[in-house]
Amino acid sequence: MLNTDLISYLANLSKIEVEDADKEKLVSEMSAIVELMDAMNEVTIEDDLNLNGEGISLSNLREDEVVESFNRELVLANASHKKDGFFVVPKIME
Amino acid sequence: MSRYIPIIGLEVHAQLLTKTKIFCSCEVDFGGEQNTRCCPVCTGLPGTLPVLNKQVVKYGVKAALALNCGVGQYTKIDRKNYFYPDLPKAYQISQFDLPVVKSGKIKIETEDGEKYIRIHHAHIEEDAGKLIHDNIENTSLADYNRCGVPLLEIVSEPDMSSAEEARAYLEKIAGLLQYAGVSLCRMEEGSLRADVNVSIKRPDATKLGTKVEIKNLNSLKAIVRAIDYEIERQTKILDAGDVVIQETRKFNDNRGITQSMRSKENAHDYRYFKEPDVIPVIISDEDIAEIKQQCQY
Amino acid sequence: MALCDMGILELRQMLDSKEISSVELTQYYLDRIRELDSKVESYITVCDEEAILAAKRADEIIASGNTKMLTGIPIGVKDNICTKDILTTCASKMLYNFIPPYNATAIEKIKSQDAVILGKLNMDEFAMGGSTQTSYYKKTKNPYDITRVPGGSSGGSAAAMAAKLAVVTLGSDTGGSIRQPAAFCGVTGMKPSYGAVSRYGLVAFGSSLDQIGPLAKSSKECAEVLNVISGRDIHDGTSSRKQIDFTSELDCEIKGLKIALPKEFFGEGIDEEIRQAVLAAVKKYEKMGAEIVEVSMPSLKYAIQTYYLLSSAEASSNLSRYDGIKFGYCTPKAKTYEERIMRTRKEGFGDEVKRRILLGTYALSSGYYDAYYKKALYLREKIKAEYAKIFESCDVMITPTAPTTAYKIGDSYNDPVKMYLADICTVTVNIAGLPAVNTTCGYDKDNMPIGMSIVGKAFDDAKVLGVADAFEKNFMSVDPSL
Repeated sequence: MLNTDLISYLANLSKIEVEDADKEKLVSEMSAIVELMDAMNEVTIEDDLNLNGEGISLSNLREDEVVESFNRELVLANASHKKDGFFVVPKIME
Repeated sequence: MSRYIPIIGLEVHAQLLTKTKIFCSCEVDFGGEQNTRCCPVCTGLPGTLPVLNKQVVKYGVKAALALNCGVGQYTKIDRKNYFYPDLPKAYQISQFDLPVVKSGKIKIETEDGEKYIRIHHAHIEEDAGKLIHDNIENTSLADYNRCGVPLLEIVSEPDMSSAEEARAYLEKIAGLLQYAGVSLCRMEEGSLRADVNVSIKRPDATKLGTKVEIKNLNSLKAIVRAIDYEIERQTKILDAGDVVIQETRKFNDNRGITQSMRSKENAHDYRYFKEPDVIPVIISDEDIAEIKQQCQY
Repeated sequence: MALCDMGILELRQMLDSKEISSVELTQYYLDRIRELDSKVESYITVCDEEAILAAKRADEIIASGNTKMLTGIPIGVKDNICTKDILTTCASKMLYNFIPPYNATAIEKIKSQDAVILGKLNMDEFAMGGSTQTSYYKKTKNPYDITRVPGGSSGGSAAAMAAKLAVVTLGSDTGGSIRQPAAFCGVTGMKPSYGAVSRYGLVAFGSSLDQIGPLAKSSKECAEVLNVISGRDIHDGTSSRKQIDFTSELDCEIKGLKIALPKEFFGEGIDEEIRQAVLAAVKKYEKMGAEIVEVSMPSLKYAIQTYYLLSSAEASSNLSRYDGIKFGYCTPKAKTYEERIMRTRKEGFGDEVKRRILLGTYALSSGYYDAYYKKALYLREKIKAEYAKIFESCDVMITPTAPTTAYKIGDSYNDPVKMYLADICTVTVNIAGLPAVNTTCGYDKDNMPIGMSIVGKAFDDAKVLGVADAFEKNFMSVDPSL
């Protein structure tokens, strides 16, 4: 059952902050969507189908040859916080 | 004499000796200025895709042969989802249920004689980046050079019952992989890392005790010290009639103790699912035969 | 014929015979965009300077006589396809300032022919939607009736085509996102077989479903564009080694062609006018000598669930990288790492994107994986098998592209479930990785376009385009009156 606790759990797992004021609305929208998805309950997996798809042979994989890396400026170009060639992240709570 | 039997398992990460990263063609090398061995793929830019390195899979097969394990001839790549600043895509591309190295066992020598330690499996995966903590600004600085470096993670069964056995096992694994030429296996350099799982149980108990994971072990000596300390710590807890908490603990090398980590390490739902960008690999009998021929035995 | 009514082939001739230069042609389109796009709102970014520069270069190539099919042709590109040094937003606040340092492979290929990129086209945020109303930047209108939606998620690509603000456009299709807006806007739009076109540089939504594809005035032109952008790519491990000549079946024989009609697409749930228009089109094929085979697709019962569970699960993972650290929007108010990522994602993503991420996270989470995601994987195989069985005895399949024509802005898109159900005509094609083209087959009582889809076997894309072309040769399309 989709309730505020489950929505809070999922929001935390997917790292999206949801304000308490918005939780009720989100619960009601997600409940309708999940109700649609619950038609899956009518389905039983019967056959032993390979769910992982066809494979590719080892010989078709990428060769282990070096290609020049990107210039550091380009790597950092889109970052909003950088310092001395690093990406900067605020304090991580341990 | 201990009233409890220690049950120890090891998760060993060996950096594979390929020229390029596992999912892009950036060079794999030691050191280097931060963020100079990166590209849009290993930094997880929008629109980029992982492309599997053939040599990484071949080394996986070599490792299977060296470790006396089976080869997963239909091997699948999966995503392990979690958030941490050293992981640009917020998922690690790894393997979950169809690894390239299947179960096997290796023999170790201890003062009590020979013993077989079973290997549950070994899988290929990408390494994460490095974080440096800037204590002045109270920030972390991320270097993604190491993102995408190929690793082989070897997971043992909890067959070891002492720190000595754990050491013997680790030395044996490292030796076999070095000889096979797939990894340098040097803990001091970071090409070999290990996490340890420790629990204890009464000899007559059928259920295993609560498992505690220990991270941040940077040398063989640290592993031995950490295991000994942890066995003692858990013994004291059970003797007092208390319960061991399942958690991840960090080894503090200076004080020789393990400490609780308050991070989210403790409760992860990794939501593993098949990596849609990488097609499963079929390793034929001919492939294995060819790789066997290339080995030095 | 006005310049804006000409397709690639006519323009190729005019450019090569120097009747017009690429600079003139490009300026013509840039002027049209300036004049008309305030009504349609199809472009997020217009690249005036870069386009003229590219056109100048194209004119040099034309002068040297070394032209390729797309040399000097002005093209619009959906804003989830990475264009080097050109803002690529995916119509999201999250990428409001993202300038890719690399080109998508499809873009490299059109640039290697010196095509001209006019600008980046509007879409539903991160390609999640069927109306182009979830864009953070603007709401694209349908040129046939600017009070109606253009469809989505490639609404900008379709509307720009219908309003003739580009010669051809590129879009992307995960569950119908090229075909449905093409239907709503009365243009031809093709989703190629999965793996035919490299996904490198297409900002990922549903990785096992996404494909880049063209929108144009005709199937012929779609075929020409596909010949340029398709092919094996070392940057995309899922791109196919199979070489397709998309033009090889134009002018194919319709006599003896076996066309499958799944009865589920011609009953309840499809607007009567659409049903009639598509059946009338099928009658035309019959007159050309085709044989109609009525089939059934029971797996359609769970198609929507299968699609939304697979695509949302993949999307929830694909979109985890948006955290304000390496690129894109970053919240100004955060003291810890945790606060930064949680607030960045709260502020940077729109509501529909958040709902899909939550749904996907739910479907993959421990305890629910078997009930939802695993079943979706199973049903995927069932749907593939169903198509395979039908294509054992049939060459192509024809269905309506959407259950309705373009609806009024403000309707539907506030109701997620209603929106999801409207995808029923398109999603199974992506689930099975098959090729499908939308072509206009009629107009409803409000003069809104009606589209039909021709679906084929995997890598039989040329046949699909050939069959559509056969219809288009004898169909009089009606332009919007903008």
